[in-house]
This record gives sequence, C-alpha cells and structure tokens, in this order.
Amino acid sequence: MTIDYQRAKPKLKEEVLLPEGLLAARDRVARRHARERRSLAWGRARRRFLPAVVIGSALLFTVGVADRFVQALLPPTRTASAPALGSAPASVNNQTLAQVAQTLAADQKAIAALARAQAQLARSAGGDAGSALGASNLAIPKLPSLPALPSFSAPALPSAPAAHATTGASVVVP
Amino acid sequence: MSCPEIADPSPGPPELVVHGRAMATRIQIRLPLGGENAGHRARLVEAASRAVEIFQTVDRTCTRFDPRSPLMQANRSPEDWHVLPEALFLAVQEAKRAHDETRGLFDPRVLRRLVAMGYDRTLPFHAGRVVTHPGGLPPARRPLPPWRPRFRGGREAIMGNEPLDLGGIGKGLAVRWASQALADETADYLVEAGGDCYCAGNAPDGGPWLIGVEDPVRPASSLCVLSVRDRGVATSSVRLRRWMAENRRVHHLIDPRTGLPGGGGLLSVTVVGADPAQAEVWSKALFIAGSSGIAPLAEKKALAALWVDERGRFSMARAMQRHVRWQRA
Repeated sequence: MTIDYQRAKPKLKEEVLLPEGLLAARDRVARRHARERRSLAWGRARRRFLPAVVIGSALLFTVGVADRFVQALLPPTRTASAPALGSAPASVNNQTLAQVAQTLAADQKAIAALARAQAQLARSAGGDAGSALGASNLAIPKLPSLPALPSFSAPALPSAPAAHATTGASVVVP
Repeated sequence: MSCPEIADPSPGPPELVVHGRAMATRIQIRLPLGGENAGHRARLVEAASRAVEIFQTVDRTCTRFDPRSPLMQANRSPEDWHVLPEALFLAVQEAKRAHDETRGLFDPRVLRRLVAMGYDRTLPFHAGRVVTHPGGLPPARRPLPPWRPRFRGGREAIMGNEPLDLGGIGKGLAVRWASQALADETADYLVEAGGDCYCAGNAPDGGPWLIGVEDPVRPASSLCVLSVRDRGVATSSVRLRRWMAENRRVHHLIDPRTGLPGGGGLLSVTVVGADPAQAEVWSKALFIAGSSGIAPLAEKKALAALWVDERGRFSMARAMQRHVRWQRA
C-alpha cells in the first residue's frame, strides 16, 4: 500500500477552528516578520560592508588627488625621442642588406668549391697514395671578390657654442 | 681715466653694452633688455657707468704702478698707521681674509720680489717678447713671517711688515663691487674685466651666460665653454704676463713660500665661484699649488676648477663638471 504523506498530513486543529479574519491577521504578522527579518539582515550587511566600501573609496579618491598634486609639482619630463630614421639611412640599410646577401652567396659558393676540392683530394689520396699531394692537379676555384661595403662617416662633434665672454689671461690694453 | 662708452646695439636679442677701461684692461658690462621704459633704461645706463667708475676707483687707489697712489704711499712705511681710502682699506681687509683662508698660498706681500724681477712698471706684454734687466735676480727666500695687518675704525690700517701688491685680488673685488652696484637695478647682467667676470641671472637669449675658457697654448680657440648663472669666473694664467729677466724665464704669479715664480707645471687655472673675488683668489692659490698639488686641493675645498698643464692637457675638478656646456674633443 502506498501512503501519500501530504495527504496524510492531518489538518491542524486551530486552522479549522480560527475564523478567516484572524488567519488573515496572522498571515500579515508573518509577512511583516519576514519583511523585518530581511530588513534586519540588510541592515546588518550594510553595517558590516558599507564602512569598508566608503573608506576604500575615500582612500582611492585621496590617492588620486595626491597623485594629481604631485604630478603638478614635478617638472614636466621630456620624452627623449629617438631620431627618426629618414629615407636616406633606410636606403643605405637596404643596400647594405643586399650586399650582405651577395657576400653570403659568395661564401656559400666558396664553401661548395672547397668541399669539391676536398673530395677530389680524398679520391686521389685513396687511389694513389704515392702522389697524394699532387697539388698541381687540384683546381681550387678562385674566390669571388666581395662587394665593397658602403662607408659611413661618424657624425661631426658639435662646434663650440658662441660665448658671451672669455676667461683667460688678462688682456693688456696699451 | 676713460669714460664709459655705450656700444651700438648688436643684431641679436636687445641688450645694453657699456665699455670702459681700467686696470690696464678693458671693462665690459652687458645688460639684457626686455621692454624697459625709457626711465628704467636711463637708470640702467647710469648703473653701468657707476660700475665702470668703481673699476676706475679701485685702479686709482690700489695700483702699484703709480707712486702717488694711496697703496704705494702706504707701502713706503707699511708698519705705520695710515688713513686709507675706503676701497683700499676694504681691499687690504679682504686680502688678509683670503690669506688666512688659503693658508698663506695667497699672499700680497710679493711686491719686492716682482720689482726685483723687473716688473716695476706696466710692461708691454701685448707687444710680444719682454726682457728686463733688474741687475741680479733674487735667490729663493725663506717663508715670510706671519702677516698681521691691523685695522682701526673704518679707514685706518697698518699694512704689515712688507709692501703689498693687491693685483691678485683687486680686479675680483672690483668685479664684486661693480656687480653689487648693478644688482640694485637689474637681475640680469654680465661684468667682465680682462678675463674675470660675474654673470648674474640670464643672458640676452634667456639662457645661462656662456663663458669660453681660453686655451693658453692656442689663445685664439677655447678649451671649453662654461654655462654659469649667478657665478663669478676667474682665470690665472701665465700666457701673457711672462718675460725674460736676466736670461731667465719668469712670470707674475709668485709663490709666497719661495719668492719665486710658482705653479710648477701649470699654464692656467680657472675657478667658478659664487663670489668673483674669491674665485680670483682661489685661481691664484690653486696655481701656486702646482700641477702636483692642484687636484687634491681643489677636491678638498670642493672648488669648481679646471687647469691646463705645460703639455696643454686640461683637467677639471668634479665640481666644475656641471658647468661645462661644451669641451674640445
């Protein structure tokens, strides 16, 4: 047999007996209690957290104001700007890169030629030990000439600024 | 005595330039202008003229080249009481103070030694090679006894036990007093007298005053350029005032400890200081210290000094570095 506990719950005696007006009043009181509990809980939370929020905000505001004040007192710092690279240095850089690439290619050719020469030397050494160093037979390729790198002149030192007076040996006026 | 001249305005920022002549050198006063009215400009001209007159007064009273000057009259009997003109009285007091402060490296009691080397009159250094025949150079002497001048009231003094040469401080004092006369009218000015100067406030372009330091080896060029504001600059150099005395090369900066030309190994010393007279005194005292002693003394006294040795190399004390705007590579 299945028992329905909800249905089996017995009706309270006073619910049956109290008039509707009193029940409504009791409900109102219960709602008011619930409302007051919520209000109390909110008030407790407010008392707990609000001071910290207020103090934190005030602190942040003070720090901000103090920072503005200090920044106003300090002399303005000049941003050191790097000298802009003009079109002429960029073109020089490109030219240099191209020449470095040519140099690398030439180096690779030279390395390959040296490797070939080494292999030829090894073959001749293996085949005829007596004439191991028949150097005249080895054709060492001529290394390609390297392209000249562009020359850069150091910037001239600034000249002396014009002075308002000179200190030195006291000039004798006849 | 020459009258001050107002120079033509230069093409740069507006300024008033007044020239004069005293102490056998040229006086220059530069006053930047900036919207002054006619009345203020007239007062500036008047102050500049007064400043030039101060140089001429100091020259007249403190020169050793005029036997009628108050200094030379007092030098005839230095151990007696003399009533001195105010400029001379103050100059002797300041010389005594400088003597004590430099522990005797600055000493005005060198007149007899200079005269003994033939420097008894204005020598024509500007004309080139100078030769004197004093008739026997004095040997090195023992250090002089302590210098104890006495002062009474505001004008009376006993000079001490030796005649004095105030050439080592007179120009610096004149620059100081002329600067004080100008400071009543303006905050920005330059007073320059034959290599010693005082730079107050800003130059006509609004920046600090720039003072070139002469290269004693190549006088046409500068060793460096100093940037100064409210500072005096003085140089002691033997580039010009040196001569041959009895076949011996001598100069005018006498070491009071020996009575002979001092500053072994040095050609010139430049000092920057708050007071032009003190700067002049210390430039001489450092010169006398010689090439071996100048660096420790300058550092000990925290003096802004730079010096050139006989090889033409120049060095500077740490305190001078902040004044150097440019220096030759």
